[in-house]
Amino acid sequence: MIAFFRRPLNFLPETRDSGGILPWVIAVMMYLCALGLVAALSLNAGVKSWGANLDRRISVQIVDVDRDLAIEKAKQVVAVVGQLQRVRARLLSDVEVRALLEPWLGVGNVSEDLPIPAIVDVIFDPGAEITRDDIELAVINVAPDARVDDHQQWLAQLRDFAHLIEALATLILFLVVMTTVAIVTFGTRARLAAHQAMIDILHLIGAEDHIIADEFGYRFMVYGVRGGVIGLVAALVTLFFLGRIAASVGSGLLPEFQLPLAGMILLGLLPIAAALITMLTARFTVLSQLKTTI
Amino acid sequence: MGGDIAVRGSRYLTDKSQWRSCPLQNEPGSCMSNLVKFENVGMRYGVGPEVLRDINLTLEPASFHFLTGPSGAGKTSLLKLLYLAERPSRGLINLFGKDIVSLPRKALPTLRRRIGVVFQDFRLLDHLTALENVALPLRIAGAKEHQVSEHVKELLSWVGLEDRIDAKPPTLSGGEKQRVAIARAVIGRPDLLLADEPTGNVDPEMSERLMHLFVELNKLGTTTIIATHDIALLDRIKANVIRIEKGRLITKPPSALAGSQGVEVVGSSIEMDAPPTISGSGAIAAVRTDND
Repeated sequence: MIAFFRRPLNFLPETRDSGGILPWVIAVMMYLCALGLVAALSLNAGVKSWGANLDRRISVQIVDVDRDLAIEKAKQVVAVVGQLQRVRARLLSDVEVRALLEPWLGVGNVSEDLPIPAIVDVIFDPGAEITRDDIELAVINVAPDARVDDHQQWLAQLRDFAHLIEALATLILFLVVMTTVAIVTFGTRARLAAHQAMIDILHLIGAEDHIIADEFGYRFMVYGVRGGVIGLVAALVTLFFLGRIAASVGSGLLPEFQLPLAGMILLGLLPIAAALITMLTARFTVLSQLKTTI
Repeated sequence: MGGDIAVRGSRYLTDKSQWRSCPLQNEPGSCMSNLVKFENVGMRYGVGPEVLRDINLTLEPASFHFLTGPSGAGKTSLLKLLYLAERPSRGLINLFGKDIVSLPRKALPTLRRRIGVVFQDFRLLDHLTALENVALPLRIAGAKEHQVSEHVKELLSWVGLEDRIDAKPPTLSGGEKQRVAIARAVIGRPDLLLADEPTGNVDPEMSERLMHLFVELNKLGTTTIIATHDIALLDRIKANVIRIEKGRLITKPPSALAGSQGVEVVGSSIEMDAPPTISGSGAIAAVRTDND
């Protein structure tokens, strides 16, 4: 952090390529970081959103070859379930049921002669302690063959999958950061070796190790900021197009792309994180290397 | 020649209040102490043979010395020990009242700031201007930027490089580089000035001018050691001579011509303005080589 407060001595020559490929390598790393971060955060937000929608919902499906009979049973289900405290039930229209099938079968592919079930959407008020068993008990007399689904099995699988993806994204983030640290360490060592004669002079005129480390830290911080900004911009462009593609593929099948505010802030902090990682890595590398000199 | 470097009396260097009135003022009774003391010092590089053997040497504050000897005798190694680029393999070195052998590494920069070194190959940083090169020691010491600029410009003017402050070393002549290197060595008002073959790369006239510069710095209170092969230089400037051969010291007593200031220029063609004098400085150096 000293590099932020001490004016650099500017003893390191600024090469024409301003750090060579290092800022670009950092840019690639930050790009991967940004994508990993967004994947983890948006998936987490999506699962939470789905969970919030489905936690207080149960579907009752009545399948019957006779469509009219199924509808009749469904109406009775709506009536009996509606008598329960703090519970609302609604029979989905044919259009709504067909719309639910469209993401799987394709728009316009749900033909009129396709047998579709009658579906009752049961919604609890917040705080209502209603379980799947309560609904099954309520409907057993009017529709004994009804399938009551509280979505929890599917939701649990989805949550497990989301957690797996989150863990994977975190692992990728960790590996990317470690790789960045390794690259900056090698870059710093190479630069130290290239400027060994200059560093010897600085030592002989009274420079302490931290002065030299500050200079390296400052220079690598600049590379980190450059790489971080380039990586972030590239990631934002990618995410923009990815969002548009996801929206066009089908709104029911893929979760709506959404990045929570915390995620946006984290994304915005990425260049700063890159700057800190590169600066601290360069600084510690220089300090540890200089310890071995006289 | 790049400008007249006859000593005009740098205001920055001659400001007595800025110099340590006694180089060891922080050490109790140190004004009477030796600035440098070597006791049975030996040095080798790695596992190689000893390049310095049984060096016993005492240098007093504000003394002037030539260090001479054939190539490979160990002059540069001795200078390296003096400017703390190496540590001895054996023996004791006391510099500014500190035992260098046992001193922790982190304590060395403070001592190094009290030593000015003029390297034979200058060792200027090629991508920095003359001004930035000379400013480095002050900036490293944390001096305020406006002071740095002021002092460095004045010093560069003093060595006759006022028109070359923005020039980078690759565009400077050998003599100009030498003067930049000297300015960098003295900008921190060192207690000990070491110069390795400072006249090796310049013509005789420039050589004489540079030597006057060192003499004047010595008169300002800086203990000066100049490593040289130049016999003519030793004849012209009468001072104590430390001779080193095969890694051992051989003392040559001060010339009878050397006056009370410990150094005297003989037959100089260089005109010098009245140099400032500092009371208590410029004592005749005592060089003891106990091994002889």
